[in-house]
Amino acid sequence: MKIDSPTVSAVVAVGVLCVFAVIFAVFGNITHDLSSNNIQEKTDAETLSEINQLGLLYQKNKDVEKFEKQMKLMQEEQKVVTPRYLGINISEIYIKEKWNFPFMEPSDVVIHNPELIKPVCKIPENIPYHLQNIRQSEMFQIFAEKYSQHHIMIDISDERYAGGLIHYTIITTSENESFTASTNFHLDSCTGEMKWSNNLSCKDTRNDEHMYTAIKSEIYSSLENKEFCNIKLESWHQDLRIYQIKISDELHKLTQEKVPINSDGNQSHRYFLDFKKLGLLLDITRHYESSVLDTEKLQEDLKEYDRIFGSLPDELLELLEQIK
Amino acid sequence: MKTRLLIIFAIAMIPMMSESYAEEIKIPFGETISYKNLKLYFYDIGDSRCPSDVTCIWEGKVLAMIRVSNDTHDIGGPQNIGFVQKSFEPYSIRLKNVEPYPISTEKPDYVAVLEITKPESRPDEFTDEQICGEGNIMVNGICVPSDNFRVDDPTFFRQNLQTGETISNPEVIIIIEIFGAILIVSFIVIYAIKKRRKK
Repeated sequence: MKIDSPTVSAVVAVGVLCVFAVIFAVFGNITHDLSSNNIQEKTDAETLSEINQLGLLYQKNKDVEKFEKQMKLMQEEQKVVTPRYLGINISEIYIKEKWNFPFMEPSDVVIHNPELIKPVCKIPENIPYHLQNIRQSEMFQIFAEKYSQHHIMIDISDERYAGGLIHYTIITTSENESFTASTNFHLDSCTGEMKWSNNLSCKDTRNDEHMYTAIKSEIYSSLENKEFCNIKLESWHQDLRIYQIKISDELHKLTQEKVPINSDGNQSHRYFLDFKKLGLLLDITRHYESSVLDTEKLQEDLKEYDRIFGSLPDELLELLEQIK
Repeated sequence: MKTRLLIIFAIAMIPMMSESYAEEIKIPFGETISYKNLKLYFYDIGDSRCPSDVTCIWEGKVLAMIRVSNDTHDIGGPQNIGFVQKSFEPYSIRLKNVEPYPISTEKPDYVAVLEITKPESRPDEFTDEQICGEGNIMVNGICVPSDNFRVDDPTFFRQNLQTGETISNPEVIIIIEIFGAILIVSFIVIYAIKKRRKK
């Protein structure tokens, strides 16, 4: 069959048009979605910020009625905003005066904590952006996969005094309310960078028994099993936890004693060294439990222990050997 | 009515007279800070507080080693948050906090936050020597030469008044002046009444 050139030209022209149409349809829609999402995010950020600003003002003026109204408004707004960015239904927002409402201005955080090295930024404006970061994390995704159909509560708390962080807790409760499962996310208030997102806590509310882990394999196996929340520690971790409980108990007992203050200093110095030794051991075990070992703090703790007390106790060395 | 108002006023003045003041000072780790006649040195720390970004089985505690000294005392030792050091009269020194709260990744640059309280303060904040002049001290509100002062003598105050020591304390001077003014006014009133009766 012979095809003449005008036919070829027409087919090519139609093809090109189709390709353009497809490109326009796909990318046009995406860009439209992106821009509408940006507008939504901006609006949400502004609304949260305005509510918080008024909360600060009413708190300053000691206008209790208006302040409480504002706090309720923040709760309602967060209930609307959080599902939009997390992609799951949120049943409850935990808001309490002084705990997480209103959020202080960054300048006031600095005034209260002048020794802060890291910069601190505003909280309410960044909530939508932070929630999007949380949604993208692996920990959130596996947590949401198991618990998204349950009662979920969010608690956003201000920890800018400690490393400029914002703490997001997601807590879910079983239907009979006997168990809770929770995970925490810490984000830098300025960059939105996520720190240490892998953690899972389970609580049996009937006896107040609490279990937690930051070890990825344990989190996965806990979330995969059919029980609502039950963390089974690996054997090395179980041994390390027992050692940690022993050190904590000794330290707790020591702090119950009266702190000796005397002019010769020997007794009080001995007391302090015991406290410091147990404190460093506790801190070192916490690092190994956290699964992120390459931290400046762990290295400094190990160096400090070695400088003051010599090598680590044999019992702990054996436990650490198991981890390797 | 006036008497009642005076009583209320006097009662209201009592807490003001015994007012205490508290001042917050911050000592960075490894540094010494001078406050009035005190020297405060923050020289060591034990911090087992649970870092804010991890979950722990126990919340932990913090102890700061702080040495406080003046001309007569030198006391150092571990202090937990809320501990009050009362050996440095008239000051009481309370460890308010050790900042920042730890996080798991970094060793913080610690700062001990202390609250120093003095139960009764002179509003002008002058020292005895500034008020009474060099070589003098203030005893019971009166300036006396420091050589004559004996702490163990309970009759010291009266002895000094009897021996004609200069009273240079402003409060005593004000009381004497008021007393004199009342006497003068009384004399004028009595004189006026007598004159009226004569008429």
